[in-house]
Amino acid sequence: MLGSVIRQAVSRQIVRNAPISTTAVAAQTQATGEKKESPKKPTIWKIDEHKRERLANFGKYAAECLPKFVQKVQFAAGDELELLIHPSGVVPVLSFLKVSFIDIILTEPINFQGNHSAQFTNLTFITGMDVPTRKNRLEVIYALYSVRFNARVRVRTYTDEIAPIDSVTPVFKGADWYEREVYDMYGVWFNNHPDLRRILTDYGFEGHPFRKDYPLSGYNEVRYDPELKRVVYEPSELAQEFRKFDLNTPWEQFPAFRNQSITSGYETILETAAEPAPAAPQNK
Amino acid sequence: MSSRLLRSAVVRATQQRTMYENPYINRFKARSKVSEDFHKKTTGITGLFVNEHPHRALTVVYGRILRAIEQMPRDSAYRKYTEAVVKQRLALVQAENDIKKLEEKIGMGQIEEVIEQAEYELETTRAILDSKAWEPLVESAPKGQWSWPV
Amino acid sequence: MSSTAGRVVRAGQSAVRTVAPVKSNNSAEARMSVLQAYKEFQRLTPKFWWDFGLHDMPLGVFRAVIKKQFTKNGHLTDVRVVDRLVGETNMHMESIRMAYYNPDHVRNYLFAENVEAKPKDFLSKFLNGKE
Repeated sequence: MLGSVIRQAVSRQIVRNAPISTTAVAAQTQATGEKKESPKKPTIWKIDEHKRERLANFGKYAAECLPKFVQKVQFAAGDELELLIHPSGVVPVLSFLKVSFIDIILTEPINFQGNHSAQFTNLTFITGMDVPTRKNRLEVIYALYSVRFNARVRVRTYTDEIAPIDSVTPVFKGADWYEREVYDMYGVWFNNHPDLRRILTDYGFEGHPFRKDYPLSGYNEVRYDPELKRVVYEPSELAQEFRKFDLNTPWEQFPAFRNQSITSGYETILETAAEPAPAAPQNK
Repeated sequence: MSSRLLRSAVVRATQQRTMYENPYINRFKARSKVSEDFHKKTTGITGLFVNEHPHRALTVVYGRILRAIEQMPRDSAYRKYTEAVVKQRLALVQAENDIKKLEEKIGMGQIEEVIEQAEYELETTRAILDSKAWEPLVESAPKGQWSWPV
Repeated sequence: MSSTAGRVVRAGQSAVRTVAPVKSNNSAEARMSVLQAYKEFQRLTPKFWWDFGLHDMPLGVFRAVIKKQFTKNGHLTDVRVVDRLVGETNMHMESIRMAYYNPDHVRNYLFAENVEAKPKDFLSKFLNGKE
């Protein structure tokens, strides 16, 4: 799930770097006035600077309205707004984004003194991410879409293996199955969820397959036992020759970008830090 | 007498329901009825029904938002912005009687959408009140939490 | 829309850490919820035992097996871990009640530890009839 996001980011980065030469070519042909066949246009994701600025303003506005939860506002891959929040604020932040009368508008001013709402009313997906080296290794990502303004925002928060996150089903009914997916794949517990069960894996499945420490072959294997006349579960066992995985592809996908970071980098708009906790009263 | 009752109960329990008696369709049909002289028959949006008295609905919801928002501290940004917008809108609603002109002045699409949005706003206000979201940041992210690649 | 946002639990002298409790605020509450889940499971047991065709063992033995599922986690002290296990138990009970599980799933869930580990060394594999 996240892989696709990163891939998208990568491809965007590439095309953004690429077109410099093509515009130069276009300028040349214009200058000489020759009637050449115009070179095939690459499909470019063009960043709308105007919209980007407004999104940035919206991010600042959201951080101003919800100072308790928003830790950082940033752009990923050029123009994708991300709000990085504290896990306790999932419900208020998402319900704020669902309506939020905003002062800084996302489109051209229509009639009314520039007061509009962002209306991220569509929950595109919820997914997780596992980075075992972090203190809070699991991340939960909510993607929202505003149908009215054709704008997107992502909300990211973090948790560890047992700390629960509040379910957003009171705000978005559609979050139900997405949260079950995240629970199934990553083992994030959602409080107040109406029906938190596994959704993708078998009943009685063990472990959470998208965690990085989940063995590739799983924990159990299932077979039909003709003697017992039922399906039995056994600890999975791999023959030695199947144990060695060579996961490197023989082809290099992007040789021209060999030395670039796979992520196009984040651009921080705003970052807040909590004040140091006041010294506890000395009562011994 | 009792046998007749019994028979009717049996008939009710066993008869096949035709597709035209689908309870969902029936319910939506009842809700989507609009009086003859109203200027539109439908909003054109699934699940959003025509409201013939938007002024009343909006005044009620905006009143609720304003009352809820009064419990927040005066300097909180959310209260400042939302109060300004809601008061402006409420003034518009009170000043303009014609629905079409009101829609134009608010500029957020049909009035039913505006009502729906106001209802969402009320929920948001309550969620923010519940979580006291105007307070300073609860906890900074642990070091390295948001850095990528790690 | 009740939420646990911003509930603060004091941990240690100087550190104040915001921890959202799964369900219970202290170990007494967690203990109560475990006992509740246990009682509910035992009430469910006779029907469960019959419906899933588990009567190759007597009901008393089956009750003991279920009890063992609870007692094997008796060493846990972290309230949140306990709460989470209770939550998962409730999920299992729901699935049993609604017959989402097949008897095979149940046998796996309850008796996974009784499954004999596969022979590792060559000789026992050979004697077992494999390879």
